[in-house]
Amino acid sequence: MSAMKNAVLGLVIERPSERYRLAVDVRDRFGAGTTYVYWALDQLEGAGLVDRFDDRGHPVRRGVRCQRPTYRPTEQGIAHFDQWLSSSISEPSFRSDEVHIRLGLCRPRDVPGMIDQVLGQEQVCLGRIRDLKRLGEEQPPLGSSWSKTVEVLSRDAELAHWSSRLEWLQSVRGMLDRIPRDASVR
Amino acid sequence: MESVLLSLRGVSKSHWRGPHEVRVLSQVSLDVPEGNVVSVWGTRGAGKTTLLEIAAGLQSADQGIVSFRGEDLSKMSDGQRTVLRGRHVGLVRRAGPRSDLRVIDHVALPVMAEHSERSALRCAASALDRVGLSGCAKQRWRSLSDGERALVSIAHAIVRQPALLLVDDPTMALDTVDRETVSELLRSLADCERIGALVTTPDMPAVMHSHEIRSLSGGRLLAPPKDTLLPGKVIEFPGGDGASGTGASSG
Repeated sequence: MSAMKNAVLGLVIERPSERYRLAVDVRDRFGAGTTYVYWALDQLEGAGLVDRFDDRGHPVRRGVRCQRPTYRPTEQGIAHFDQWLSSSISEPSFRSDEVHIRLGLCRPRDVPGMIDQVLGQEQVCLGRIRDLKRLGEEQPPLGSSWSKTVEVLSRDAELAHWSSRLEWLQSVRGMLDRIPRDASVR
Repeated sequence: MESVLLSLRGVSKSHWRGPHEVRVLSQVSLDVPEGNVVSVWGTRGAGKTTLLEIAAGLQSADQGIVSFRGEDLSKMSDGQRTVLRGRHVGLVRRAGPRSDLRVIDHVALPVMAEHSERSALRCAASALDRVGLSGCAKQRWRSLSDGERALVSIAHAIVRQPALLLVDDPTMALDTVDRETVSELLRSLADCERIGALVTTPDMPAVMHSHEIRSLSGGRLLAPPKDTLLPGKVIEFPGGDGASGTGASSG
């Protein structure tokens, strides 16, 4: 099962909630979209890892519609999550994104435009970092030193991603700035 | 409305390496209002220290205006700039005392000339209390941890009750816990005591408690785009297991 699906299960265990609340939590903490979270909750329910309960606390059978059900973990779900958390972490992978691809294909005449594009991307990174900061300010940790530690570590992980990307974009811009504009087309 | 303590407008600065001009700052503009921490993030060699020294009046800009509370630093004499730095600006650098002074004596140094020893030590004790290090007053500098040294450096800078702090890489070599302590302290000095702070750092997590974040590279100072991504826009990691989506919807 994917890490993100386990993240959804982990949040159900951490705080049983309605699916919209869970979707917002997953989005804010791990970056998955609402649609994905809804799909993942259906999958987790199908696998017997979470159950739904109506507003009176009665279980809702699978396949039966229910207004604003609360999701709770099953014992099997808790055991599955514990097993996943203690298992080996999978190998990291790399996938080219649009900036990589454009850089790989741009020509000397495209350099001025690329510099502007890279500057724009740097600003986007700064915007993401500012948003992370705001999230931290709007949703302060619950108070215990453990929840604060987890929040800081989790924030730092995403921050490391955006700051290393920003640093990479800066070095790209530095190199593009040094390319002579009259360089011959390869 | 918050009054602006420090203002840089169109500041440029170049260094010459032989015949080659190295543009360190290019048309840099920023404001530091009272009660705000403004952080400038940049990698080594980005020009952060030059920016800080120009803001402190220790270097002059090739172009542009640097002003403190509306007064142009370039129109002041060296003596006036020194008085300004002494009375209103605190420089925070991690360099410690050359001799192994007691912490309280090191913090008291900036006020020794204008206070009696007893009064200077009282000011130093108060500054140490404000950074949460009252218990270290009688310790020697060399016995302090990196985190404690960072806090003592801030105490040393605030002992004269400055309106503005200029802070160079406050979290250098600190672990996560000490980094959070130092960053939160700077934020609380701004929020509670209305001190303005310009912080330069290569450490991105250190900027998370500031009010405003800028990035410096290639001489340019960038700000985040004006539009906000919250609420409803999603932060996505690339390559994340198909776990992407658009904004929130009710459900």
